This record gives sequence, structure tokens and C-alpha cells, in this order.
Amino acid sequence: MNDDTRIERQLPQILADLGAGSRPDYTETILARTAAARQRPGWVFPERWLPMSAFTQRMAAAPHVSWRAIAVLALLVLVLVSAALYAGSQQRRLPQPFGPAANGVIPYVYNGDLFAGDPITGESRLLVGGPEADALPQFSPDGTRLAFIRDVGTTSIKPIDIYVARGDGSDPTRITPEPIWDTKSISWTPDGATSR
Amino acid sequence: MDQRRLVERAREGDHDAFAELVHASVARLDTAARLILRDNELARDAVQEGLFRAWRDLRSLREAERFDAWVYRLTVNACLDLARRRRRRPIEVEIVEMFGPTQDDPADAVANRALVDGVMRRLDEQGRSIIVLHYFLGLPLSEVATCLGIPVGTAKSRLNRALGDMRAEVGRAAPAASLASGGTVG
Repeated sequence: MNDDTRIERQLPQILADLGAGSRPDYTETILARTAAARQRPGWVFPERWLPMSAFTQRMAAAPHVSWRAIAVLALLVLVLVSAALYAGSQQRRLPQPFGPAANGVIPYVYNGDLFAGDPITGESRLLVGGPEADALPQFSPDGTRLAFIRDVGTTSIKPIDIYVARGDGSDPTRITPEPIWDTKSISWTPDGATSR
Repeated sequence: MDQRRLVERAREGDHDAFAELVHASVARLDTAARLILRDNELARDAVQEGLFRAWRDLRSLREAERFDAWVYRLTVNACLDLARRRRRRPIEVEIVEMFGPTQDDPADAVANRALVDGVMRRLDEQGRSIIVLHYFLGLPLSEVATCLGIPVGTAKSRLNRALGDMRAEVGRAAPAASLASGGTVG
């Protein structure tokens, strides 16, 4: 007999010897108890309807999950969620009426002046007025600034300057160092940092 | 009458058939329970509870030929339930000496039993259940794991650890004993 397996071969007999004793004297007690008890009907057992052994064997074969790893993972998720909430709370609040849920106003040109029209109420307000001929008003993506062009000169073919004002049209500032030609449109970069 | 037929009849409510099954298995269950719990009174309660559940829930057993493994499972679970209750509410019990030498015991057989008994004493009830289910009741490790609701790898590692303890005992206490070292469960 191989020494490596001898202990395993001897164990069944050793265990039988260790547990050897007189025959149990309580068999009749068990039978009296069971004779007085009713069996549960078969339909109440899920095992009668489902192959439970497949589930239990799969459960037993499943790898052991470390509760410590689960706790670390939960902590990591908590930190990430907290960081996301904090980052969200730090975003710049937009002034009325340009909050994300607000109805937007539509800028338009009339007679060389810039107006903002409210599509809900139908009312308009002047954004940029004056003797200059302004055109192509464009709100920045966050609605806080307004870009537009202004004609320069008096000839029929005019160069233009690009201006940026506050969202309400105040404080217009020229951003082109010198007049430019052949500009048919302007637009904001997606981050709203500059017009182009 | 063969066991399968007895189980089928008992499942239909024939208590006499169930009594035959009980007579055939009670001694083995009693030994297993005493090995696991190391307490004769608790073992008696566990076997009674296991066999009572067997009668009550017999109609849940789909395959009659698995009756033995199913009753082992019910009894071992009853043992572990009782052990848990015993841990929650400490009670005084008489420590039973599991074995004693008899006149015709060879000296090395006594030594081997002492070594195994010492290791079994140090294991908890679940560890002892693994040993008993696998080596005494003859269930394969996959079924032992299912029975105890633990992964097969856990059952295997606990069994190997217990065997390792037994080998260490042999090395310490009886270098010349016939219980030799080595072997793992693959």
C-alpha cells in the first residue's frame, strides 16, 4: 500500500471504530413521532417542479467570494459616486433665463439692430442698438454672451468687425484686431470659449 | 424488498416501509452524528430531527435511489443546526471519550485511533462533517459540498488540512506508527 494514500484508506475503519457504540435505543421513539405526523404534499416542494440539484451543484461549484473584496468594491463605488456628485455641484450656475430648463430666446436683426425674441410670449427686447449696422447675432452655448458682426466703413462692399457682448447685449467688445473681409457667418466653439 | 421500492412506497405514505428504511439506516446515522457532535444526547436529537424531516418531506425527493445521500444531508444539517444553537447558548455536557482500547486491539490500531480522534476533537462541526460525510458515509466531495452548501474547493481544502494535521500528529507522536504520512485529496 502506498504511504501517500494509507491514511485515507484507513480512515473509514478508524471512524467506524471511533463511533462504535450500542445500537440506538430511540428508533421506536422516532417511528412513533413520524407515525403521528402527516407528510407534506408533493406540490409544495420546488424540487418537484424544478431541477434543484442543478442549482445547488452550481452554487457549490461557484468560486468563493471574498467579503473583503466586496467591501473594498462598495467603498470604491461610494467614492466615485461622491466625486461625481461633488463635481456636479461645482458647475457654474447660469443666470436667468438661460438655465438648462429655461425656454431660449431667439436673437434676430431688425434694421441694423439686434433683438431677442421670446417664442413663448412673443415679446422682443433690444439687445444692441445704435447707428451701426449689426448682424449675425449668436448666443454662446451657455447663453451668457452674444457674438455679432458690425459693418465697418461706408462703401458698398464693407469689411466687418466681430464683437462679443454680455447676454443682455451690454458691454460690447470688439475682438477682431482689424476689420476682416468675406465673412458670411460666425459661430461659437463648442466650449463657448471663443467665436470663430 | 429493495430500498428503491421501499422509498417509493414510503413516499406514498406507507409508514411501515419508512420504518424499514429507518431500521436500516439509524445505526449509521447515529454513529455519524456522534462523530460530528461528540455528544451522545445531541447526536440522538439530530438523528431524530433528521429522520423526522425525512418522513415529513419525503415527497420532495424526486429520485428514490438518492434516499441515503438525502437522509445523510438532512441529518448532518440537523447536527450543524444543533451545534449552532449550542454555541449561542452554552450548556454543560458530558465530554464523551469516543473510544477505548479493547482486549484484542493491536497497539498500533489504538494509536491510530487516538491520533485521528485528537484531530477530530480540534476540528469544528463543519470540519468534522466533511470528514464524516466523505470517509465514513462515502459521499464524493462534490456531494459533500452540496450537502453543506459550500464550494467544492472549500470542502477540498478543509479536508486536506485535516489530513495534514493527522500526518503531523503521526510525525510528532508516533514516528513508527503504521499510519503513514502523505496524500492529498485531488
